[in-house]
Amino acid sequence: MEGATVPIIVFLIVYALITFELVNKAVSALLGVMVLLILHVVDEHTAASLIDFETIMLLLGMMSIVAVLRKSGFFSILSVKIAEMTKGNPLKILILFSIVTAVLSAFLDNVTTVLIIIPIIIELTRGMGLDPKIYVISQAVISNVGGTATLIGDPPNIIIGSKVGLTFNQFIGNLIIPVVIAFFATLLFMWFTNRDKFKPIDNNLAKLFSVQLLLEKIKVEFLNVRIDQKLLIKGLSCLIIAILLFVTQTVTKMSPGVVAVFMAMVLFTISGVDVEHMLEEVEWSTLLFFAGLFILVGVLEHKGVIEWVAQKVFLRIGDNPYVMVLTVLWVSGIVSGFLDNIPFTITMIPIVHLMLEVNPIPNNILWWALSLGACFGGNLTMIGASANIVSVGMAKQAGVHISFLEFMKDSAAITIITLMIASAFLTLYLWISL
Amino acid sequence: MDIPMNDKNRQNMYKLLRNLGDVQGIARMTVLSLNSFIESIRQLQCTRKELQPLYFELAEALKSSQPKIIPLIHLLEQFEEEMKQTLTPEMGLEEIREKTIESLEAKIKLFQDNAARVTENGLKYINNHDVIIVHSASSVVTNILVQAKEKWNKRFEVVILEHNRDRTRQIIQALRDADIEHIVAPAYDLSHHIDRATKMFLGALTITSDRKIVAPSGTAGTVGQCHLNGIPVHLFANTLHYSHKASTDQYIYQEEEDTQSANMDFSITTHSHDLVSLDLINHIVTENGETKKDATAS
Repeated sequence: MEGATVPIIVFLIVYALITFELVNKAVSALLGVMVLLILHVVDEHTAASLIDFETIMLLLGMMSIVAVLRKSGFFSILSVKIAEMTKGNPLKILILFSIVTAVLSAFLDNVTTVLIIIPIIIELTRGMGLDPKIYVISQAVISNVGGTATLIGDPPNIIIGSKVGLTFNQFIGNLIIPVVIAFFATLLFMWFTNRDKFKPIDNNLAKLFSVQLLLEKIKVEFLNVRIDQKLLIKGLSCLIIAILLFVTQTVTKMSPGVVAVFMAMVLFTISGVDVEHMLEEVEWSTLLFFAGLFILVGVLEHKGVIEWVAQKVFLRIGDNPYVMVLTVLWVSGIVSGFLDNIPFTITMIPIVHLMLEVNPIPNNILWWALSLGACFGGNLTMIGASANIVSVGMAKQAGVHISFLEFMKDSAAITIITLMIASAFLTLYLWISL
Repeated sequence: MDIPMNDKNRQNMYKLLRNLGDVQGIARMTVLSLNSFIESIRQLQCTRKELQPLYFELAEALKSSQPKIIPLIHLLEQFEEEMKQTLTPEMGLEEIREKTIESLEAKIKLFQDNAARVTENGLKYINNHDVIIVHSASSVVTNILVQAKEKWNKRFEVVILEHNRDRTRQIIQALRDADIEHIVAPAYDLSHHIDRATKMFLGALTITSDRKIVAPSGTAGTVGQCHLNGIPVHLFANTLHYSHKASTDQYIYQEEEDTQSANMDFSITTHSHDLVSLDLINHIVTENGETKKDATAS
């Protein structure tokens, strides 16, 4: 671990800055990298080689496709249609919006999903005189659960898939069962703990009438953009083709990052959109944040720090596969609840590699434990996942204040339930595999 | 069954009606309200005994809305009258539901037919090379402009005075789609367009018994300026907009908005609608054709 002191200190400071949101995430990470470059801990070429461009390309491509789809009005139509389908029934609002949130989160990033869903669900529930809080919390939590199902659904999965070389089909094939069970468990929990708030209104004519008016108002407010049907068809086609190419990755040999950027560029070309404007929609700060973190963790790995942590912490638990899997799951779950799960996942990947050298657990089960832990764990607190922070922030803007403890009252219980579901699934999977 | 409509529910409903009315205009608001009434009846779960009081409770609440939606009130009064005559103790729940929906659908058709006739009658008031000022264009005014271009191929220009972003967007969209030449200007900029204007078109929320028009905010200033400059003002409204009551009974509400400039805080008071004297209107066009001003007073 020679020369590791400076990168460790820099890494811890950056981690603290990110966790407590003292400085913009991307700025924190890149500031850390710059300090390492200035102090000659690492040179520019090595630093650049430590960036996982597969992850960056996948994020860039998907963000570009989403930007075009947003411009087409697709998300406005979708959310208004769902609002209409609920007919103002509180339980239907919870169920239908949760299904849409879960599905969208599986194929788009979670923050985009809550940006689409939260405004309309607040407008709808508040207009009906319901408390929007439980709906906001449930959608944030569901977005994290739904995103766990696929390679592209949640940043930890994108990182694991890219760094470990796991395919889209492997993710969905191995994670769909625990995710679907966790989804229903979450809905059941939200309904059971708030069941008096989900009473139907179909015996009150005045309320039914107000809901109809409210749905009209929502239509006017959320469909005020012109729907560009040609752009919508092109955008959806490119998204579907991208997903098909993810699914057939083993046949086409095209990595998800290449597929995403390729389809985004095809979409830019055929749609005739203002590319400059579309590129402004890409979250460049997130991409820079990822790049910075890859370098910081890469330097720690080069200096032997990761191996040291693995030896001193994770490898001390022995080589019992059940203990290893459950330790990775629960440590990831709890840590991701309090720290950003993106840097945590990047840090854990070399550690899990070292653990697998000690005991090569079959069927990538240790990676699924990391994925389920990091994604489900993000629900533990309000700061555990970007989708939670964004949802609470949007609610606040709309005048709905959700405190840290209010969020945690529901989300912590859901996290424990979903981690228990993941534990049962992984234990069974391991028992079958051994 | 839930408790009767409480004040909170009532205020919530009025707020929704106001919001939608501001954006959609009174004609669409009337149709939307009746459609919402129909849809809520379809979804309602109650006993035969509970049904009739619920209908009348909602109709009564709608008739007391603030501000008053006069066409809706007239149609609901007709609906109530019909229901009192139609409903018999022998009728079952589903039969009543069916009759109610039938009656409300007939009211929508009546309103739409009247509006279509006003549009038809309004077409002859557009000539080639007209420059028409519109402020807070109602759906009937928009339809007249569009049909004059599409059906009669009239060539004219429209000066849209911007007063409400959503309503302005709607008329711009309609004129663009119909390829009608137009410019958009702020309402306070009217003096720069008045010299070349040939007429002004407007719709109305209500025409009151004391010879006033209830119209969106800002209308009075525009009508006044047109009147002073000799620009003929045309009002297009079907007779369902006529109220038997005076302008003081229209529940025009006022709102105060706190604002700040430099280090001074103050509040701005605005009224939801303007009152415009019928004396400033040159032509009133209804579904029956051009009507004398005196005919409006009850």
